[in-house]
Amino acid sequence: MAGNLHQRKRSRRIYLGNLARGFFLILIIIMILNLIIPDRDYSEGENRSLAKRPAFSPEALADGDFFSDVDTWYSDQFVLRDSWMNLRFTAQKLQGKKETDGVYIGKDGYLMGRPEEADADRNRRTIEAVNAFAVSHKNMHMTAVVVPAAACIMTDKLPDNAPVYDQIGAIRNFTDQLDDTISVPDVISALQDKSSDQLYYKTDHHWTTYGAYTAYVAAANDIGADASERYMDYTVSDSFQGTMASRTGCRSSKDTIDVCEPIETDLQYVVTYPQTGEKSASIFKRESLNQKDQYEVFFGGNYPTVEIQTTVNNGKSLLIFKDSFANSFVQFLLPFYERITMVDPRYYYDNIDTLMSSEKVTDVLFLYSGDTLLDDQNLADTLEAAKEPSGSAGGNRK
Amino acid sequence: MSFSSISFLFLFMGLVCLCYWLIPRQYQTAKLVLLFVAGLLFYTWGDAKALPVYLLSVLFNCFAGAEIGEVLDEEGTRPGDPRPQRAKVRVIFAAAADLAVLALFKYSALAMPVGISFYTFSAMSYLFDVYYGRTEDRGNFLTACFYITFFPKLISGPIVEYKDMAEQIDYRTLSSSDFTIGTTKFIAGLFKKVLIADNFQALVADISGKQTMAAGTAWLCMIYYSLELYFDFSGYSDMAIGLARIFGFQFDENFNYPYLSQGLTDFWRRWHISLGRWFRDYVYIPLGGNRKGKQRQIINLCVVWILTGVWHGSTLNFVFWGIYHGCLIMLERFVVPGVERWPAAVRIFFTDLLVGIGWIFFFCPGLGASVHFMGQMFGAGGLGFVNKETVYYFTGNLVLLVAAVICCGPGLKKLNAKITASGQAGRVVSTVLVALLFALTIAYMVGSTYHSFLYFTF
Amino acid sequence: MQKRTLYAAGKFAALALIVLIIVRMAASDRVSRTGFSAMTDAVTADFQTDHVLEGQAQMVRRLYGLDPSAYDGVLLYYPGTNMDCEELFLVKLKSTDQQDEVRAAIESRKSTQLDNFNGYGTYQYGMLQQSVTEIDGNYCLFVCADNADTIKQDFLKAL
Repeated sequence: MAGNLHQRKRSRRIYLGNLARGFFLILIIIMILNLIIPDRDYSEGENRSLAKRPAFSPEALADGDFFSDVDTWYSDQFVLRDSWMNLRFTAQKLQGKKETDGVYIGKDGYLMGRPEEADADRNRRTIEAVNAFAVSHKNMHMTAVVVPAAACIMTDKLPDNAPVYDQIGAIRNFTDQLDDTISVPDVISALQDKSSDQLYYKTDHHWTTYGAYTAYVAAANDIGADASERYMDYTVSDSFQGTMASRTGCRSSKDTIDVCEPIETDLQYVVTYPQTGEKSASIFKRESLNQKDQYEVFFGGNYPTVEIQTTVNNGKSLLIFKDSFANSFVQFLLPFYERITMVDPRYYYDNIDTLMSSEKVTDVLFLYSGDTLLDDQNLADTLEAAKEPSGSAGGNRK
Repeated sequence: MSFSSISFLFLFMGLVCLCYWLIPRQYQTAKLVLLFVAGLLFYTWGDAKALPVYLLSVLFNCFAGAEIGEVLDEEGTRPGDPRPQRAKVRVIFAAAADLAVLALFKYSALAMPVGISFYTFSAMSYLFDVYYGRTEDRGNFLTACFYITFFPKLISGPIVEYKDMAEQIDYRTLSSSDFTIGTTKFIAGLFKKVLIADNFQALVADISGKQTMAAGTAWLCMIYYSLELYFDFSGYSDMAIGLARIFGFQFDENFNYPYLSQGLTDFWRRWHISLGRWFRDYVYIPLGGNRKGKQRQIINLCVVWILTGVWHGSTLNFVFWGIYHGCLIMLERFVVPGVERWPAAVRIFFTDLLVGIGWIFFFCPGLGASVHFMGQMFGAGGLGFVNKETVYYFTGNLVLLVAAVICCGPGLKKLNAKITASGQAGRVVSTVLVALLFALTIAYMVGSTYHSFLYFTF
Repeated sequence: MQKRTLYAAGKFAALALIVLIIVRMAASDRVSRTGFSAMTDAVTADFQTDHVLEGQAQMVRRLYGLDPSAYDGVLLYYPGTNMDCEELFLVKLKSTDQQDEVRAAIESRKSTQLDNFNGYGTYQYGMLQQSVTEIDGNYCLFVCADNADTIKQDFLKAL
């Protein structure tokens, strides 16, 4: 009996020894793999460039930069990084977590970003800048459209009991303080009415083409467009995995992307990207569908300015202050303006008044997502900067 | 550098262990030199800017201790004898200098060197042990250098006392069971830290950031924080103890299921044991302990508890927390009669409750915030006891909560021991589970470094 | 006896070095109580503003990539034409933790400007090479001007 116990203890010790050796074996194999597999430049999953093996210098060692760079490099280049992330997401989902990394794990495969609280000081500044801008450009017709985050509209898809910040309230509070000359169509109610449809992507923070269309119908009157215009939609992708999928590591949901073209109006236009001088006959960039961020099928992403010249001949020129939500909205506006100029204040540094007079702007549209606008400083910077002379020293002569 | 970071586990530790095992058995000194060099590298890796201050502190203490050893030799003092005046002056000077440097970094705007609270206390333990003649070696300079810089315990403890480690440095026996025990301990600690503590951390940060919450949410937050703190600290200690054991050093446990304590005195015998022992050996007993009457004992306890509070952090919160624990212990010892006759479950419940309330001073940034938070626990938020938010934070983390509560006791460990001892089938199950948990650990570690670049696409 | 003296010497030397390092750390990290407007007056007293324009938030963001609202105060004079390189950039930090990001921003701005003028404007290139970057506690200064050193002294006095 005693001998038996002794034997069992002994065999358990051997087992634990093997387990410990197995642990170190795996650890060392992973280490060797990490060190011999060549570094990747870019992570599709995270949509960013990855850190490279840092160069050693005594200064970098002394101020701690060297080893913190080693940490970043080593974790950035970890073997099967994206697969580990997917495993983490799967585990979180299985254990019933409702939220990870600021993303709600919703129903039916929806991933929705958690809206952050509005920044009151920044909002006040933006409101003042917009109002001052409206007063100093009284001859133009101005409209503001602010789009709530998916989690505030598609509430049916949220996890049960999720405490979501009332971004709609914050947006209403924002638009209520705008000058009376700026029209504010009730896009939010229109979106809420259709909230059982797919207004936002499951795996991305943007609205779908259908979401943008819903807002367009609600806003058409205010922005001088015609809500009865009919469009034909084409599905261009069924494999879109957007920013929310990237952030969580989720790989199981996929989205389709649609684009629209007017049916009855025969319309030609030229899109110009002034920064690169590139011109195009379409606002859609098909090659973007081959990359990770397929939402870039609209214009290929964000630029300081984009100019569209159409064959419409009505003398109307629209200036849009925007974030990327506008990229999928502009497709509905094409039949109604002779010129459309999109300005993304986050990247725009030139004098806005100069641009406005050269484009003979007649209408202004502020089109933002709540996520951007309620935390934004760039719009106020751009609008206020119109008062100062433009600088010329920043350009790189090379 | 944290033990639970990717680059520690899969680069530093991998390389150090590999080198350590590649050195043949007969070159024990070479192994010690390797560990010493690794310790320096470890510190540089974690906080290169503080390296000069750290190295000079180590040198200062090693010189000071060796000098005290020489003085004792010159005077011919033996362990039982009263300490000579010359030695006393020197030990007080050195300890005062250590405390002054520690206090300066703690209370000024200067960046604190990583692990300063821990390595300073290690160094002081060396000084005192030499002074009281508790070691054979009379303050050997190199032994002391190795002791203070030994990297497994360097930045987060346990605060192993010099007398407990010095002999192991000179006479180490290496057996394969050290490797096995050390590795299993390390793995368990890693799981506790990454799978439990880190998950609670995000959650607590999320909840405690709210200005108002339902009372139930505040209680949940307190429970989550209590669990986070325990698994974070004890997981880290387990990793340190396991790692030391892999290199053949045997440290005492730093935590012994503290949330099963039956009273505050009991709790402090089970929570951060090495710190409690340090204060007992170097403050409480030298002050007279309980040998000089009740009045003196109360004063001694006050001193110890205020110092314990101050050691944890620089704000008033920590002082208050120390006093809070001191008061509770004195109440338990001197005032409330017959506590020990209460049923065990009741005692555990009240202990955990009081400890949990104490932790509020840890995670709130100031006394005002702590009081505000306690108000929330009693409905000051005006949102009732339970609202949607409470249900959300409870149900969304139920699996984690249950797992953590189970791991607060020895049940799981015992069950695993039973399964693995029962036979082949049990071992396969256990191995699969451990492998799965290890995979998840890697996934969570990688996940914490995963930053998708969102702003560009907004 | 011999050994004890050696140990004592080592002990005091180590302690003296620690004190020295701490004093140096404290000196470089002291937080100045000078208000931002007083500091502005001090650094602009000797700064010629003929060749520069005052930049607002947008310019700070454009030239330095910094968000002005993250700091207690920001003052920028930037070159008025392509052929000028005079510049003054003053930042009051909210906390000394921000030193590194401001230092990096100034260094990157300076190297862009050096690139711009390299082989194109030797005088400007020289002036940029002589430019001053001073980071002291909660104030950071970058000056490119003929009398950059004078302005640096004004800055240090006003701290």
